Amino acid sequence: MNLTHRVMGTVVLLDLRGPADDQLVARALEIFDDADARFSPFRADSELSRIGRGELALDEASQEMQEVLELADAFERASGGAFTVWRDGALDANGIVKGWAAQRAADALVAGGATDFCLNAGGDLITRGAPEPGRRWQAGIRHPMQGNRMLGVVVLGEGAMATSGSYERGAHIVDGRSGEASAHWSSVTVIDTDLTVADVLATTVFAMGSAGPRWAHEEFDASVVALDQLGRLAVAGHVTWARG
Amino acid sequence: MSRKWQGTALFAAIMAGLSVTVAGRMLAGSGTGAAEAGGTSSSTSVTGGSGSSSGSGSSPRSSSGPSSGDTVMGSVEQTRFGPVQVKVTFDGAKITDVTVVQAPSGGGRDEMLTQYATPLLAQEVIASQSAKVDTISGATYTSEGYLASVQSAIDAHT
Repeated sequence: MNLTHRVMGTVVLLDLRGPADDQLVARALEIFDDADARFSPFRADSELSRIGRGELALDEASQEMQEVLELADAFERASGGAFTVWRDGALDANGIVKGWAAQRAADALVAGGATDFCLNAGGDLITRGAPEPGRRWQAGIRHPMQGNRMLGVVVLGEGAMATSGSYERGAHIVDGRSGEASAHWSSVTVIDTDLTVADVLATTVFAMGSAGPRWAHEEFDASVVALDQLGRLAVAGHVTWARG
Repeated sequence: MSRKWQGTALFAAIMAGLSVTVAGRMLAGSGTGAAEAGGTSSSTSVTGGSGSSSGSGSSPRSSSGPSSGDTVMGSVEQTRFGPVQVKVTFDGAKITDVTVVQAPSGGGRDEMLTQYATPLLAQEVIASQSAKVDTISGATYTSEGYLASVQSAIDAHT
C-alpha cells in the first residue's frame, strides 16, 4: 500500500509492502500528528511554545519533550554548538523532530509486525525489509541545483537517510556558533542506521561547513554525501551507489 | 562559513583546474598548473570553468610540471581570509585528485577539511543516477510538485 499523510508542513509517504494492518498504520501516522501538536513552533498552544514563553518548566515537560531536548543538547555539545534548538532565546526543534518522529513511527510499525516498508517524511526516510524479494531499497538523492534529476542513487537496504539543503525554501541553516546562515554546502545527505541521528547530522554538517562530513563520519560513523556551492561532491564514509 | 569563504574555495578550485564536479567534468591540467585564474564572477558555479578570485596573491605555480602519477603542491596563496594551498595529483595531463591542504579556518578554530570525490568516484555516482529509485531524499518540501515526483517514482517500480 502507498499512503500519503500531510503533517508538520510537509508530507509523509508510507510505502508498505505485503499485508497491511490499517490500525497499525493509523497508529504509526498518529505519531506525526502528536509530534506536530507537541513540538510545533507555529502553534501557540504547543508544549514547545509554552516552554518557549516560560509558561512550562522543562522539568515539568512531557517525557517526549524531555527526550527530544536531551538529545538536542547532546548533539549541541558534540557539535561544539553548531547544532542548537535555541535561537535568539527561542526554542525551535524542527532540526530534530521530523527525524525523531519518523524513527518512532518506523519503530511502531516494526513492533506491530510490519516487515517491509519505506517511510519518507518530507525527504527524510527510513527503510525496513526489502521492496521485493532479492532486491534492496534504493534511495535517490535529489540534485539540489537541478530539481528534475538525481544527484545519485544509493543502495540503502535497511537504513535511514536525511537531507538538508538551502534550495527548497531559500532556507537558512544557521551555524549555532556564529549565528549566521551557513553557505558552504548546497546539499548534505547523511546515511545512518537511525533517522533521528541522520536528521540531526544533516542539519549539523550543513551548519558546520567544510569540516562537517568528516566530523559526522569520525564521531558518529555516519556516511555523508555533500555537494558544495561550487558543485563539488564530497563523500565521507562508505556509500553503496546503485548500478541498476 | 561565510559567503566570503566561497571566494577562496572557488579560487582553490580554479587553481586546481576544476577537475572534480558532480557533472563529472574532467579537465586536463595544463603545464602551468592552471594558473590562469579569472573570469566571470559566480558564487554558485555548478560546472566550473569560470569564477572570480577573492585572493590577492600572486599566480599559483607548481613546483614542477605535471607528469604521470605526479602529486604537485600548489603555492601558498595569501588571501584576505588566510592562506590557501592545494595539492594536485596528475595522471599524465589529467588531474585525478585535488586536496585542499590549507585553507582559512573559521574563527581561529582548526578546520578539518573536506575530502572531495575523486573523478573515479564521481563517475560511479553519475552512473547511479539512472538506477531504479524507490524513494527520494531531499530537503524539506511543501510543494505538490515534489509529492507528484515522489509518488511517480514509487509508482514506477510497482
